[in-house]
Amino acid sequence: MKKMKGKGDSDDDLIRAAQNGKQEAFAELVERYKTRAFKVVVGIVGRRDEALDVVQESFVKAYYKLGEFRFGSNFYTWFYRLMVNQAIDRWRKINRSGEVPLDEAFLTEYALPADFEGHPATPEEILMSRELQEIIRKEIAALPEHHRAVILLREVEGMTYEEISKTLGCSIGTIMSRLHYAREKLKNALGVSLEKLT
Amino acid sequence: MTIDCGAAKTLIEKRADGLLPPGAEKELDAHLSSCRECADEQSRSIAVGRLLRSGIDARAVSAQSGLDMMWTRVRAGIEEKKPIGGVLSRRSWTAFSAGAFALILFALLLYPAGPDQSPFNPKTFDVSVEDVESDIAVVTQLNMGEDLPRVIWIVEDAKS
Amino acid sequence: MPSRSRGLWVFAAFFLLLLCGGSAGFCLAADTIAIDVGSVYASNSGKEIDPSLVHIRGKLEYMFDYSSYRLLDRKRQRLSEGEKNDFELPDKRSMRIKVLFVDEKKVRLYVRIQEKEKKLLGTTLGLSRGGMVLVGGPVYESGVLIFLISAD
Repeated sequence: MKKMKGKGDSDDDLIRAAQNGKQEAFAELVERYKTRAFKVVVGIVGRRDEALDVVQESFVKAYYKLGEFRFGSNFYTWFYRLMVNQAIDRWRKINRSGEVPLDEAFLTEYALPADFEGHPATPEEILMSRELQEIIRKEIAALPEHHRAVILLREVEGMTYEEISKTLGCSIGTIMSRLHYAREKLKNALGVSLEKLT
Repeated sequence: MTIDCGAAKTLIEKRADGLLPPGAEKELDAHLSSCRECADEQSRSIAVGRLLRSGIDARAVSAQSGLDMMWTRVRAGIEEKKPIGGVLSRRSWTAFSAGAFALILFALLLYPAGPDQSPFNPKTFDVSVEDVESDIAVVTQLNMGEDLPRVIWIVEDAKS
Repeated sequence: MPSRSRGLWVFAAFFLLLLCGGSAGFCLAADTIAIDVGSVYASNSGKEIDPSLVHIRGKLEYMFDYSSYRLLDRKRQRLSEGEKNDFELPDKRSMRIKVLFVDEKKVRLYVRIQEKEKKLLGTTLGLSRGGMVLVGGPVYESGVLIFLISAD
């Protein structure tokens, strides 16, 4: 069972307290997981504001489903399962409405190439990195939603195959197959551009 | 023991997931030091993960003010969704679920037993055919509209 | 808990199980697909239409000029993404189907029909769940074979 640093109570203790009506205990769970949750959701839905909405709705839903949580299992895989379902539903709604699931505001967000953390990057390196990230973002958005969820849970959240399997309710074989497919798609999309950066 | 490129690519993926078997690291590194193609493959594999994470991290930074307000938003959502009038009484719950159980049992009894006895009854003929190939025949596709099944027709050279 | 109430709560739990499908469909059912392969002998010998073809009879009669459609064999196999299965077909042919992708709405299959050592057909298909495609033409007795491939 994962135990977050910070305030000493385990997730189980906080859940018990929340089940007994202590909202501040649930507030602590929200604080623990909100950023990690957002990172997975924004990768699935593609838009920052929608992602914040989904994270909020997921926590509200989790609050009212706390009675179903089985102690001994992992809160974060239980919560992530609920949250990924919400994110997929939201993405489908966005997709059906014909809205482009690209967050234009992201184009102005500044993302340093990961290799250059702490070292000043040249303008060319920054531009190349942003171009590559744009390619990655478009490719992620083009993946089937289930493959997108798998690669985000693995690469961004750092879940093991088993944790992803429990979160998504799929076999480990399916997880590995989807992860391999997603990685190949991303690597092929980056192709020659990557050689300039690596 | 030396490994080939196929084995190396499998190990590269395992390394990305922290699942390299003991002893495999040296073999993989030995192969990568002499195989440019596989070394590039590893670089691409690492880069994909890094770019994905750094891009997502940047989005989280831009959403910080929204994340700071998350508990306020969640609490408002909890208040908004508070059920009115309390939960159903035990009696109405059990009556409801007993009725549902009876319905499921009824449906199961009527459901055709075994796929071999039931008719072919497709719900849709929505099909995409991505590619078609044959070593010994000519193959054509027939698409007569969405109300009719797509047909792939094989004309065997020697026999037809 | 008294046994009468316990029994009633079992009913409630059964119903709740049904409701807990999850809207995005990540449960096990979305993970697998049932592939159904029917081998139909189409000919002008007689006027027999197999009862199991009743729902597509009109379509077969519209599309082809045969008077008789007889179901020789039918095989069904549930497969997960990445899995493959070999289906034996009449006249020493075989069909290999590999599931390339599956979710709760659609499936992508690679289908290969072998005749002895030769590839009679290789094709990649995308179908919606509940969908069907026909592969026909191989000569059989005084007619042809039509394979009905469904995914559910």
